[in-house]
Amino acid sequence: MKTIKRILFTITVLVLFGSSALAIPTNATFHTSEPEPSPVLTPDNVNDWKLLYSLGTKRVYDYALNPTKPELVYSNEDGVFFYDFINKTSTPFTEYLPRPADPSWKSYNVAFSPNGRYLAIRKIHDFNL
Amino acid sequence: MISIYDLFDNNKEIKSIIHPRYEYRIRSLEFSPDGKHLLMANDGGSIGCDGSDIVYSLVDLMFDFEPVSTESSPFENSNHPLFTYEIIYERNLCSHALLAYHMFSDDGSLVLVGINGISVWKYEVVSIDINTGQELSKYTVSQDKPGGLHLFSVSQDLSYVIEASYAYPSSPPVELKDFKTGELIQTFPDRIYHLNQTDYILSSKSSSPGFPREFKILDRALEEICTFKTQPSLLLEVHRSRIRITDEKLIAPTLGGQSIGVWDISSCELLWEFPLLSFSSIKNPISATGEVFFNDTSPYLDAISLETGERKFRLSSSIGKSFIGNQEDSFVYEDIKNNLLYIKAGERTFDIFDLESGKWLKSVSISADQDLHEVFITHDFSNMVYRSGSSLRFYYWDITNQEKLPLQSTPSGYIFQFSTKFEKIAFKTEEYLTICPFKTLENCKRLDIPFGYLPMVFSGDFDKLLFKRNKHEQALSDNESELDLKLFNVKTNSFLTLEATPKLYHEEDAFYVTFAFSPTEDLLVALYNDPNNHELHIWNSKTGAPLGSFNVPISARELWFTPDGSKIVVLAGGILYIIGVPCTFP
Repeated sequence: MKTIKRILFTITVLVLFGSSALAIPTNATFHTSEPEPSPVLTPDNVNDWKLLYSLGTKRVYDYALNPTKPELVYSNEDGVFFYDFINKTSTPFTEYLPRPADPSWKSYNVAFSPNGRYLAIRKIHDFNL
Repeated sequence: MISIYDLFDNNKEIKSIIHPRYEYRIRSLEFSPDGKHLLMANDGGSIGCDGSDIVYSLVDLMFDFEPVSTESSPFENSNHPLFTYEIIYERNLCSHALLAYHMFSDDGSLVLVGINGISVWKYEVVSIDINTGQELSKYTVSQDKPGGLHLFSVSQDLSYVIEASYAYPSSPPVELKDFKTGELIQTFPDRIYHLNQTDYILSSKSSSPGFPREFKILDRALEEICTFKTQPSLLLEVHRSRIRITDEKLIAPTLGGQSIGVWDISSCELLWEFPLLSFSSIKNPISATGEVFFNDTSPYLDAISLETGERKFRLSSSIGKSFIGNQEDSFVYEDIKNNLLYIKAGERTFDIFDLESGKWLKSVSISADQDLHEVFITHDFSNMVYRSGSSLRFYYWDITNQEKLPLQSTPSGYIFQFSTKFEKIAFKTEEYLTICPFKTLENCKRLDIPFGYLPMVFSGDFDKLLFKRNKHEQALSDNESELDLKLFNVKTNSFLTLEATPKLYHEEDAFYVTFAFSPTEDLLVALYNDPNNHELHIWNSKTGAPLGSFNVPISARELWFTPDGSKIVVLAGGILYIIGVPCTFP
């Protein structure tokens, strides 16, 4: 009975936040596209509800300045990124691939060597994923 | 695991380090000045510290290691360059009173400052040879003086240490003492932070009340070089772990936490900023137009466009303190008619800003001798309302005439909720709720709380009230759940039971985080949480029928409808997720 009830309910369920839908830009840029006007939310249009957009940047776990150029390396739940202070752009450190190759690896601490040659990244395995 | 990449050689991974004990407890990483060692600061979990502690681990990276071919297989970890390193020194420091501190001295030694985790309350400075791991010299602070001295810093040339009292700044000044002899060299009025691997010293004046605190850069002779005055200001209290020093630049979050700034420490000028946008809410953070989210970026309040994320303006308190967030009275009041914005800016003060530009116009204050708390403003913006001392009684303050107004009575109980436009207030006792006009607190209506239920939230104009089962008051039978919800219609005095959503998890560990009614009151939404599921649940609040559910981020804790009812805004982990119906064009 419980299973049937669950199935019936699931028919009405619209999975709005899929794991891919939750991904937002990790390069500290914000939503800039023109928003569309939305109708009022009512019981009749629940099946049309969608995640329209998100605002905000993911929490930065750690950061370090490149000693040789105006660049910040930072980590968040999506991995490790370089932020170029001049061009104001973020690029992922692609050699380090916790995502999408293996999302269970999370990165946390980062450090540059004094000559900017070496980059240390501490990553841990999240067994909950 | 720590991986080290060579950015000059195709980003090749050249080291892989696993600490056998602190793999999951690493707080920070830092290379030594010679780039050949890595310092790890780890959460120790020592029982000898009566609190948290840090274990510093110094790792020789052995970059020059060459495997000997005659030895065993090169694929054995012990013989492969990728896995060849050595932890040459470890030291445990308690960090419960003030943060333990580390630096590298002019001669390249590692210097650790803090409470020795073995001898409790014994402050020590120890310098360590990073090549051998041998302790070279040690300074121990005397604890026999009143006030409790602690070591605060040590000069990079290891000529002197800084001692300060726990009672600073009310205690005697900071003292500079000879590293070798302990003799007093001189006193200094402010705190001193030696900045690692630079010729500069940071000082902070903590004796000035409130914020911003004054930060200065000094040279090694303690002469002032510059003062941090640029905006946004440096966020720097005593949390040294948040400061990074690289190539004589200081990296730290800016005040308000909406960027990471890089400052030149020879000029105190802000060089670059890495923008962040992290959301934190006050009560009812969405403006009446639905266009603005008032973001609590303590000490500021930022008006952020809910459409683009752009900051329209930033509000600062006129009295130099933080706008009070997370308090019962932390509302933004919009006087649409006069285009004004009222925000509580202190215990008894409201700042008034221009609603369009955010320009500060004036402040209004209550004149009272006692301590005030729960200070609100009525919807017609004529009176400030407050409690004083330990009294539950409300008092009104006529803003125009600057006088206290007499009130006949104050209903019993604590404040439960305000209606959307502050026209009504509800008080709660164990047995009943009272709804009153906030303007007068007279002609109130009493609503009894059904036995076994807890009132959760009113709809915007107090037409509906949501109850949930209270398992602590009445044991639940087999077919009952703490997730059972009941709607009370205030106008008709009738109840409507909301149809149950599926029991997704054992109900002991399942709960609703928060609820919200739509402005039209025909929808009720709730954030549901159990160990495996985090969802937004939706009901038709007129029929009680469940309409659906959506997965939400694990950290979702708050949600609101926009005033026009076209969107739901979910706050999770500092990010706003905006839900609505996409507009479809023909």
